[in-house]
Amino acid sequence: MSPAVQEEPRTTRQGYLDCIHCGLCLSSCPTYRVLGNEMDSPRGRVHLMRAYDEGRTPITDTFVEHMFRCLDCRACETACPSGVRFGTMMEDMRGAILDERGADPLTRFVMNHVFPYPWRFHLAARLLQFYRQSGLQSLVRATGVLARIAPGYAAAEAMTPEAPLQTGVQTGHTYRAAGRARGTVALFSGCVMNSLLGDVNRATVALLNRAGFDVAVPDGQVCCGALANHAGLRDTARGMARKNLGRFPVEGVDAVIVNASGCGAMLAEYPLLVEGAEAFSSKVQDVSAFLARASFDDALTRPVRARVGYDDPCHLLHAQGVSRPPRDLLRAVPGVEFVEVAGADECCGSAGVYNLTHRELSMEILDRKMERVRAASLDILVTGNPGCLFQLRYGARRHGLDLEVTHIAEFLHRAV
Amino acid sequence: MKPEVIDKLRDIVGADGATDDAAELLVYECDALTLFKNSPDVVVFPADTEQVAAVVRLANEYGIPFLPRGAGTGLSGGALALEGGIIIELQQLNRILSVDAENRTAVVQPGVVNLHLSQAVAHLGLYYAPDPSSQVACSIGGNVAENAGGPHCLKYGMTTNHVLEVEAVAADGTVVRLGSKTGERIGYDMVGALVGSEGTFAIVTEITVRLLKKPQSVKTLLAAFRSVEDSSRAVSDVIAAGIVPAALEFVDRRTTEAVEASVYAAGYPLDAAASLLIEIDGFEVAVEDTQASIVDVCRRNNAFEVRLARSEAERARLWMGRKGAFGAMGRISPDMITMDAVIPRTRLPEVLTAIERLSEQHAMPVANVFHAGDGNLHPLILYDGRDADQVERIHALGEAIMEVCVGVGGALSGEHGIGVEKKDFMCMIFNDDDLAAMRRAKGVFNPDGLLNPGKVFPSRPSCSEVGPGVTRTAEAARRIDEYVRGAGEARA
Ligand SMILES: Cc1cc2nc3c(=O)[nH]c(=O)nc-3n(C[C@H](O)[C@H](O)[C@H](O)COP(=O)(O)OP(=O)(O)OC[C@H]3O[C@@H](n4cnc5c(N)ncnc54)[C@H](O)[C@@H]3O)c2cc1C
Ligand code: SF4
Ligand code: SF4
Repeated sequence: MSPAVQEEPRTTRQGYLDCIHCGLCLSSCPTYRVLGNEMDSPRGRVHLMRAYDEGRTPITDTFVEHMFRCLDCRACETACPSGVRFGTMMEDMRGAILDERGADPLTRFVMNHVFPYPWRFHLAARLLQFYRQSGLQSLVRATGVLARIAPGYAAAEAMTPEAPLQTGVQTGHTYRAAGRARGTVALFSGCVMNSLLGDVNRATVALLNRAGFDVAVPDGQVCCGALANHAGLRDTARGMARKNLGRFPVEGVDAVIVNASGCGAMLAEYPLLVEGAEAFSSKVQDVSAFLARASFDDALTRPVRARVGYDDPCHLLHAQGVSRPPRDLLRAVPGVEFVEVAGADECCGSAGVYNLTHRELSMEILDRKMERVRAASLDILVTGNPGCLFQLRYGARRHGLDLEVTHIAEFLHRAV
Repeated sequence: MKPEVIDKLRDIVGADGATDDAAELLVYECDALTLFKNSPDVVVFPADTEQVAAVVRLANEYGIPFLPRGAGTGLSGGALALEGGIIIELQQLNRILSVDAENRTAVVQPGVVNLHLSQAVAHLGLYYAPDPSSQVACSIGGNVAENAGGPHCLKYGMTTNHVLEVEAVAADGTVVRLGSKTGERIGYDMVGALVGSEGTFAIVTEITVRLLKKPQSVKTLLAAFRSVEDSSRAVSDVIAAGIVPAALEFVDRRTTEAVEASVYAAGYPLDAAASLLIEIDGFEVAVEDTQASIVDVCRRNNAFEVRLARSEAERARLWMGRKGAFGAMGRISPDMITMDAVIPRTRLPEVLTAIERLSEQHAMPVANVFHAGDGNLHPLILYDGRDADQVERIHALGEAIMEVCVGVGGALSGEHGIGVEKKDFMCMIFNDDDLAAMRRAKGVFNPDGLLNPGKVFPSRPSCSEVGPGVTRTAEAARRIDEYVRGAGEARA
């Protein structure tokens, strides 16, 4: 609209040109709410990105600190009247930081050599479980040896979910609906989901079958690449995207169903990484949104008597704009007393591996959330993303709450 | 700045409570007015009044300029560290200290976000009335400093009408308490003097505010017009009919386009040249009556659509659109500058027409979204900061628009403050003697001028030295006359 200056093609990061510095995003940001400084606010981060591109600041240690302290939760995108695409700008900025400084070797190794291979992830998860059960864990905890060699991963160790491994769904298999199917969907089975939360995948398949859909689980699918992408390892993420794109049939399926919202957001944004991914991405749907649209509430007939709350995963709410469908489904379950928890739309501080890399801040954010969960006196808290699930379970333990935290697919499965 | 000063500041606020890191200082180089930038030398984050006072005393000892900052949503450069020095960031002081439901008051720290106060007392059926469009982010301390207003100030008054008592750190570091919890202004009205002093008299560290009871009934109407003239006549007619709406807001076509393209899309009609957002509140019966009269006035002024928000959600959506409007401009322009002036309501049509003509003449788009009920205009000049030529032109256009407003008997700034942005424009309204009186008042509070220097007063001691254009009153008057007559002819 403004005259003169001809728009040249912009880089992703130049999304900062949309920012008019109004500050309306400030109080939506979890790090700003806790830390109260502009460097850890969306506006501040956008300002720093722009200053860097304009040559007004180099990438310094503090610069890096503020960029990586961002949870990539995208609450600022929902708040921004000007449509600043903060998430992708941040990923781009982190990429530039890594290009200049290099990622720490352990992160690079895990991202490049573990996540892209389901069997390795599985193995790692199994090893972790063995390690916990074998008594090695107490040894390591007692000696503090891990804390000395790799502090970030020491935190990871402390956060290791207590849940046993559960076998998930089989890739390369199609799970048939009983009777004549209404259609076919493809399931993105995910890496964490299928090894640590296999139950959720099985429940998801059961629900979709029950809704009348055949569920194909394509073989050869790999991690969605979100963790790598958030960390700024765009090439790694791009490689994963290409693999998945090659594996998912687009023709002939009604939707690509995801039950981990972090993955869902990533899959929906493949077009930003790989050309020609639009057809695939336009089919990506969160399981709750898909079921709500398929009028699944009719199938929810078995009562579950409980006070139930819902916590929005950031990447479902802010990146995919889904907030009503899961609530509608929960309300539809007979016997459920649905409670809207204050601050349900605020980040829990899990944010991929954030609770490992920024433990203190993550815990501060979690504590604020758990206080409000406590006030709501729930029996069950439902969410839709593995990271949030682990974090909220940990939060319940940490705060001594008698609270079950579960995935929406698992919960709904009890009601059919 | 001497390293020993930083050390001493850290002694006061703790190691993490101060930064002089170049990258970190960059984010404090401006507020929401990005046209002017300057990094402070250090930013401190005090945790209580005593720390604020100690920082101020230290600044005095070393003769270093200092200034308070809230959320940095100011639009006139109030929180800009024009001469470097120390920014005292008050975001850590963000607690609601007490709420007295019976007497309808609350005591808050300055960093409390405006909207958070209303949210915190909602369960008591109360709210904090001043509602600047930035209320999701701006601090009550910043509101006090700017005497912030908002759509609902038409009926309920600006910030100054809602502040009862303040605790403040004076420019020399002493801590004072002014006003009274019951709102009686005993002796001099010092609270009145502090509110709107733009962070140049004292640093407010605690505020007792009045809360209001939520009205029994609230109705929000959207009226759409094919011409700006019709809509502005409707504004005058509503007020002339003796109606006092809770809010009466104007949204033009350009703004509508931006809002409808944003996350705050509110369903404003895209084919309207202008829409009015009108809210009425009070007792059920009275509200219904008033609603009927308003619809009638709008229809008589050729509104092609008058819509009543049917649910709370719809009402909220209409308001979100209005409140997100400034921000939404990013959708249609890389940068913008928000002007702020008050004009007599009856002159709205001609002033808006004059602004449109000026906008064409300078080849710079202007959007209008403002508090029509009290004639508080906010022309938004859209530009691209990467183009030096455009930046030049905004200054000329801004000045010309101001002249039009002042020329019809208006004033600078309804609510965004003078800051650095409009300080030279002060000469359009006041002469040297007037300004000298104000300077003396500032001298009483801020004798050494260390507190927030370079704000409010023209850049030169005498208006005759301020750059051309501003003081050429006769010339300005002639031009205004020309525009206004031109506007009249264009109408005819
Ligand atoms: C999108 C948008 C919409 C807006 N809409 C409105 C509107 O409708 N009405 C309106 O009135 N304004 C509006 N504003 C302007 C701005 O929000 C207000 O001026 C607000 O009061 C500033 O508060 P802040 O906390 O951001 O203060 P800052 O910008 O941080 O500071 C503003 C001034 O106050 C001083 N100050 C801050 N805290 C203190 C303190 N504790 N003691 C003394 N001085 C202090 C600073 O030195 C500075 O001079 C809008 C701004 C934006 C970006
Ligand atoms: S993505 Fe989340 S943490 Fe990062 S700036 Fe935005 S709101 Fe803050
Ligand atoms: S809300 Fe959007 S435009 Fe405003 S400061 Fe934040 S990112 Fe920038």
